[in-house]
Amino acid sequence: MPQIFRPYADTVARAALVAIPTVPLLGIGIAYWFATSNHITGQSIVVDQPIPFSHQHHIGGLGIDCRYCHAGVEVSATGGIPPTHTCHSQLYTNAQMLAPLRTSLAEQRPIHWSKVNRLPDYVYFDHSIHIAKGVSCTTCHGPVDRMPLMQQAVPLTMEWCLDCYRDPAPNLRPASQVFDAAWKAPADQAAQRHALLA
Amino acid sequence: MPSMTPNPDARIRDRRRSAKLDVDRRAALKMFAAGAALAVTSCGRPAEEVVPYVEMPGRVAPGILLRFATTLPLGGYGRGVIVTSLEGRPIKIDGNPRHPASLGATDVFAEAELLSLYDPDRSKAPRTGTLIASWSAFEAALRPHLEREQARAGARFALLTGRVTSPTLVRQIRDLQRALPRARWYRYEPVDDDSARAGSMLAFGRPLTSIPRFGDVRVALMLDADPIGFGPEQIRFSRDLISARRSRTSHDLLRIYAAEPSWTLTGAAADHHISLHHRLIRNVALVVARELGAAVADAPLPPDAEKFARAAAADLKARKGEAIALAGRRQPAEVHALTHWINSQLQSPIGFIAPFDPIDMPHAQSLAGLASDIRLGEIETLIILGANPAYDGPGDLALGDAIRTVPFTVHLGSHDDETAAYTSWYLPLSHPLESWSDLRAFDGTASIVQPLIRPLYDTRTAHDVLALLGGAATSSRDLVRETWSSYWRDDVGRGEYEAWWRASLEDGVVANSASAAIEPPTANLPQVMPANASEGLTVILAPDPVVWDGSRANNAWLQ
Repeated sequence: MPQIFRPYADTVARAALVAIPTVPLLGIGIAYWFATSNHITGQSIVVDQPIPFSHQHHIGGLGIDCRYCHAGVEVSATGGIPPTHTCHSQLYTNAQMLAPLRTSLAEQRPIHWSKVNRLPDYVYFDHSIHIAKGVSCTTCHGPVDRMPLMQQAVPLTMEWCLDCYRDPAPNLRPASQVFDAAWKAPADQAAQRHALLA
Repeated sequence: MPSMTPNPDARIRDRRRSAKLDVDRRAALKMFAAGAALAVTSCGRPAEEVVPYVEMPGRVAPGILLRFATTLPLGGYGRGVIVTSLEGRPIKIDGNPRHPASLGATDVFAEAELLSLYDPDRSKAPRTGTLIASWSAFEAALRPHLEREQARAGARFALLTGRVTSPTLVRQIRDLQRALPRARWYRYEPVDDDSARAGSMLAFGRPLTSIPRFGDVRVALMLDADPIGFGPEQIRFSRDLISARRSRTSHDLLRIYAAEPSWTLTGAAADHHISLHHRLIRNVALVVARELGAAVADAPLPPDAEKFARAAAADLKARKGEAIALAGRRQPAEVHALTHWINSQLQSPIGFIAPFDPIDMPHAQSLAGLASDIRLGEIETLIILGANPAYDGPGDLALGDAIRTVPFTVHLGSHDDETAAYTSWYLPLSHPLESWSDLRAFDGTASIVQPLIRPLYDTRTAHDVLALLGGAATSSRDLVRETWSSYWRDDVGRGEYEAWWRASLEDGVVANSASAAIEPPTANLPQVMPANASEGLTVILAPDPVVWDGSRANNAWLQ
């Protein structure tokens, strides 16, 4: 009758002992890494748009204020996308790139933009209150003045949102600078904490 | 060992089993694995789009709620509401605090109108027979019939409506009657007020609508009446009644006696309640009248009901000027008349107005008249506006079959319903949230119906169809404005019309438009024979607390 356990059985048993706690942990770790990866959160992914609109050109280059196009941001839950009529009715009216814009106006059919910053349906995000309390556009939308094509700048996970709620002070600005895309936190940001949280 | 001779029954059973689901364990596992794999691959979120306006309409800002006052009908009567609109779509209905039939509250019927607006089963296009048609095809089909009727002054032309309280619609129908002097107008509302009207005729010699002022009442006797249940004036009455029951001192508390054959909300809220056969309710009224000194016959009652009636009578007598007796819709005219007499003895806090229903004939009689006129062959063109008599009319009239024999029949309705099945033309009706119109509340207060959204489908309002019959293509809005500009000229006459119109729209009420209160003549004591305690069953027809007369049967919020 042969031996039931071969000499390597000890190794297998030890490996199994190690694997019992590590494999599930590793599995959780991989799942967590995957769930927070850009592939799932959509961060830094550029989505195709009907017109390759450049925030860099319009804000960084021309210095147009955010509110000129996203007019509802101070009063409404949604910032709003400008109606076709707002755009290029005077300038570069013949540019090839703007053909969908002209078609939209001519056929009275709206432009279907792809959504970049997507929140789950159970999130009832309100732009106006965040703006009113000193959370800037760029805090969540990133440095849009340096984005040739719009992309999601932050993970927008629940953890990311809650992190700010746990300590909002570093992300708050005085009301006058909320729409300043080039704003840098001053050295005494920490000292202004109480003033900003008020 | 199994038996070698196979059992035929077992074989058949096996064959049946395999015929049912021919899947073995391996195949089942394969399918399960494939399902799991597919579930994993479908994890990604679908792409979302942002679709802005091409040209931003005024006032509308994305994400900002707008509120508009309008009016919704129930049984033909208007109830003021304030509708919340988001990005051009109505999303919520609330009561209008300025409207006397709402006072800021709603009921299920008003709230659920929202779902009726978006009902995918609503009719979307005109139909003739089984063919989808267009409005212009209908106009073309209507013209020869209309010309024939014009030639004979509308002798064979009939109009059937529900209860009409809209001043504009009444004006349009009057205009039509002027153009076709012999045209007939029938109206039928399944939840009618025939016995209340007949009771008023008995007591006062003229039809009067009584509006109790529950705020001043301290003792109320409900004879099968349900003022806090459901119906066109119930929102207002519940508010008055409940606030009277919230008075501070116990002396001021409203005390309710209720005698009724079936449970109602009023009965559930009553301090003294007795369940009584439908026919015996009149005996309670007779006992109370006798206690108040009426020379009426002695009415037999079961001992507990007798005690109830005497206690109620004593209480009513003790609170003269603050006591009231009310008869329910299902009680016969004599009981209504008797309560009018009791109330006049008690000097009850009741306001009386002249009924603003333009037709005096009882609803049931009006519909029976239509059925017999059709059977006599006197009607060749029948236009049905918003009513569904084939469904909610009395079955023994066999109206559906009668309508089928009329050469040219038109039904305007929100759904392709029972009546539409019998008419030669079927036209889709706009929802009140898509229409311009006006309505009167139970007390005569008028308010404007303004649209919250453009018609979702190719529908029209009753005003549009009547304008078509009159030969003028005027929009509903212009028709309504025409009515009210002449009202403004005659009855307001100061300031500026546009400002007045705008204020009426914004308030959701036309100021000071309630019917004038009238002093009723002394109530006669009607001849009421006491009922004998009857054995056996009595069928009581009552509106449903959620689907009302059945017209709301397709609304999922009302099931």
